[in-house]
Amino acid sequence: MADLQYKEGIDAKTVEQVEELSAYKYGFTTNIESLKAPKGLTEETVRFISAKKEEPEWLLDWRLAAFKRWQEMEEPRWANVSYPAIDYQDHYYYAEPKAGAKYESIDDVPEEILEDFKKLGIPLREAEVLLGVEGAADSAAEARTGGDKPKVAVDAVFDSVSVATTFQKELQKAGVIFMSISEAVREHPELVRQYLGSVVPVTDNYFATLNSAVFSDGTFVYVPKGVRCPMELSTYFRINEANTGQFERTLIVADEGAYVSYLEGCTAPMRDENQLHAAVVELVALDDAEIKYSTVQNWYPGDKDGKGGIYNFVTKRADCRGVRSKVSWTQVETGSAVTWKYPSCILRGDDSQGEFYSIAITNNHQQADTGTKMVHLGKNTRSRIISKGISAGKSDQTYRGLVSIHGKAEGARNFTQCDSLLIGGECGAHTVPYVEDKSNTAILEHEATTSKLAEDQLFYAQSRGLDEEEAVALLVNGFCKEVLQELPMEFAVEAQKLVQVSLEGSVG
Amino acid sequence: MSSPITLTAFEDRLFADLPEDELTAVLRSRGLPSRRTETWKWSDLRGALREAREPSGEFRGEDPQPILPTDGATVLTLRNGCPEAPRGVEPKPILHEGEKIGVTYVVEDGLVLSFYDEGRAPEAASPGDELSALAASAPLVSISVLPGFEHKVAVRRLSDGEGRHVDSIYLTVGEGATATLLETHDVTGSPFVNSRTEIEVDAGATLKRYVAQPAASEAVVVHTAELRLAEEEGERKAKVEQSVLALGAHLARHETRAVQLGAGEMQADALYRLDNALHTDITSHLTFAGEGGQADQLVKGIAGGRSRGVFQGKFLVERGAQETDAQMAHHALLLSKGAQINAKPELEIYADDVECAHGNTAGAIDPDALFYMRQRGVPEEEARGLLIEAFAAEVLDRISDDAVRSAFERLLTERTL
Repeated sequence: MADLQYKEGIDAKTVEQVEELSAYKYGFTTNIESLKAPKGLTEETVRFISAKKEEPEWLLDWRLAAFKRWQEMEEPRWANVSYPAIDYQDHYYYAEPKAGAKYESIDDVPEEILEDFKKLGIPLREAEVLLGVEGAADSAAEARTGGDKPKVAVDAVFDSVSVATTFQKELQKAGVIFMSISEAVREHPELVRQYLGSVVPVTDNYFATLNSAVFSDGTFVYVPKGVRCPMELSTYFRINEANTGQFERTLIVADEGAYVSYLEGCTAPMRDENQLHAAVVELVALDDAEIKYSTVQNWYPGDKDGKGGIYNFVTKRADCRGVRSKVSWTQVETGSAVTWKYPSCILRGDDSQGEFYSIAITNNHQQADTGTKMVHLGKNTRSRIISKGISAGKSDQTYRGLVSIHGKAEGARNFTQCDSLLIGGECGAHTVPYVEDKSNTAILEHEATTSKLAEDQLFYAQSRGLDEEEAVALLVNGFCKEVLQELPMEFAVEAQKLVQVSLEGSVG
Repeated sequence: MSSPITLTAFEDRLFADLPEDELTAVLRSRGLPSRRTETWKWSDLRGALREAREPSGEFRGEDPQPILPTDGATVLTLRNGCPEAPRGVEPKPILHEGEKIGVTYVVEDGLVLSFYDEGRAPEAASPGDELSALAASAPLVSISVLPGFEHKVAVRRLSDGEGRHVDSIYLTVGEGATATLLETHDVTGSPFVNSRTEIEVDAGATLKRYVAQPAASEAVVVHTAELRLAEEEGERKAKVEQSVLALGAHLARHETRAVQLGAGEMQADALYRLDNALHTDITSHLTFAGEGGQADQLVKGIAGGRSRGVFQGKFLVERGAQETDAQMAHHALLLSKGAQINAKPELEIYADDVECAHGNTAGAIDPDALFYMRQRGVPEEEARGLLIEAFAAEVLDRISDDAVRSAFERLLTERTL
């Protein structure tokens, strides 16, 4: 970064922030012996994973069908990213800490793993907040209810297994099911079977199909009718093993009138080879339900020369099935060598709402092709897309979005805004929005420059005595907050640090 | 790669007429652009041309009245793709290594028309660009406006029957020259017309290009324009003002590909007005290769009936093309249930000191405005008409040639009558 030429006028603070980003803090490796599936991907691998998880027959069949399908599919090449061909036979598809994948108590979790999560700032061992070990956590958890720090229940996924889930007892009291998906398959098979693959079908796309065949662990959340989940739920994903892909599967169901806020964080060690992360996240919101899904994605982005890093090929989709349901995606994307990710909303229920707030920062040789799809099927459905992209170094970033209004979506509304900022002359920023409108009562708006958007506000600020630069700074600051405030407190601080950059020289 | 495709009867027949070269080989393997081709996803040419078609025969109809006023213009008429030589001017042979390859006419001072016997040998094209490459193989007509001169040229394309034809025009606007190019498509019957216009605009030169295509409900019309704006010389820039009025066809596509090599100026406007089951695709790809390029694009569309409007705009700012200033806007009105609008306003930017923006809106006529006008005593239909007219006027007002603007207005009114 040091030898990079910055354009005049780029705020020194901006440069500092971006340079800080180029140093990856979470690149350490935890030395723990692990048990892996044999390298490569065959039907045997799929059976191995399923057997390891002690899965029922139907799930094994489901995986095998996906695997069969996957073998006939072609890897998509339409995204604006380039990477060498992935040798799918050169990866491990399952890795678990050797000491065992199931822990009766947090005390059984190997110290190295706890240390690892501690380094990441994930409070697994925060004594009293541990998972429902013999009911021990109950009182401790209650004791904290009155505290001023908001509580967060955490599911920590280490390579292919969930190592700990906190606050389970307290959540159970509210009727909320929060556990790893492997556990859920055993304990709530009817729920998992009903919803798994109902939003992202097995055949959806190359990486989703691959995930369906080999998914290892992830989180399952079910919030029953009328329940407002009493705390933030969170999953922390960590890839530790070399040459290992992580294929997590997350499924969140908010029943009628339920509310849940879910946070997700990801990191991986620094390695020279590329690692694969192909996750599938499915959200289902029934009548009047609301799901808020926040991500801070900080997978290892590779080094300055673009060596190593995570390939992040993720399918995230929400189905707003019920009337007046709402799903809000917020993402802060700073990691990964290559990102391919489009958290989407199917707005099926009348009056349902979808939101997408995104801040993506790429540096060095990172490539990100990310955005969202808002598919309006129901009447009076509303969606809002706000995307900010910041490219530095030799990175390339693309916002790719689809807003599709079907014929029956009377009175649908969409507002889209995407801004990009380039720092240095060797990066690229691209915007590829697709708009398909088949309703003559819908209103769609897409805007793309800050200056244009805020001309009247600028004028107002200047008429109140601010000079132009101050006025711009004020408005940019306000705009930044608009996105950041969508993040729950826990992530806001981390995210704020990542985006304290000025918008000077912005392009739409 | 994907398995080879089964060619349609149209493709079989067309490819049989083409020379066995790289382009034909490529077309055989991937077929004509279809909804699976990224740049044609909303304009399924392959689907619109399934049945076999013979090359168009002679143009049979009477020449209609010109669509755009040709006063003071040199008129070049192409009937089913065949250019008509100017009358009353002595041709001179064009020799290449001692062999005659065409004839040339000095029509007026500073205006030269050349008719070549053959077109360019087709080159392989990337997916989606095959149509322009196919049209380039038509016998070329070159129009040169020599440096410092001012000329108006009308290219009238008259098409009929149910065959297929291509045509290819090459215009050069020399240093400091001013050219007005009127291009019209007068289509009856159900032919497949594939036209190409290639244009070079030198430093200090100005081009005004106006394209009008009245509705042709059975026809398939594809027109690709490729423009190059030369690098500026001091303060002298290459300037282009372009406006396209497209009233639809069974499938119509008006594509503009422009490259600015330096600080040029380009206005790339379009207006489409569609009814029934008509389709129009306005596609543009503007590349900024040097410093200081400017572009301003306003595209508006009005879709009624079950019509389909498509806008695909792209600005590509290459590495080093600093201080590019490019604005793109597309606004569409949907008048009826069943009409659809598809848009893709795209930016690809590799330079950090640029100002690029795009705006895109789609929606119905503003019910508040309609309500206001009705309560002031304007009947609903009339109020709608006025609002639509006002919506379209924004594009028309940017046309600097008064006669062309009036003609565009007339075309719009006539089609509503």
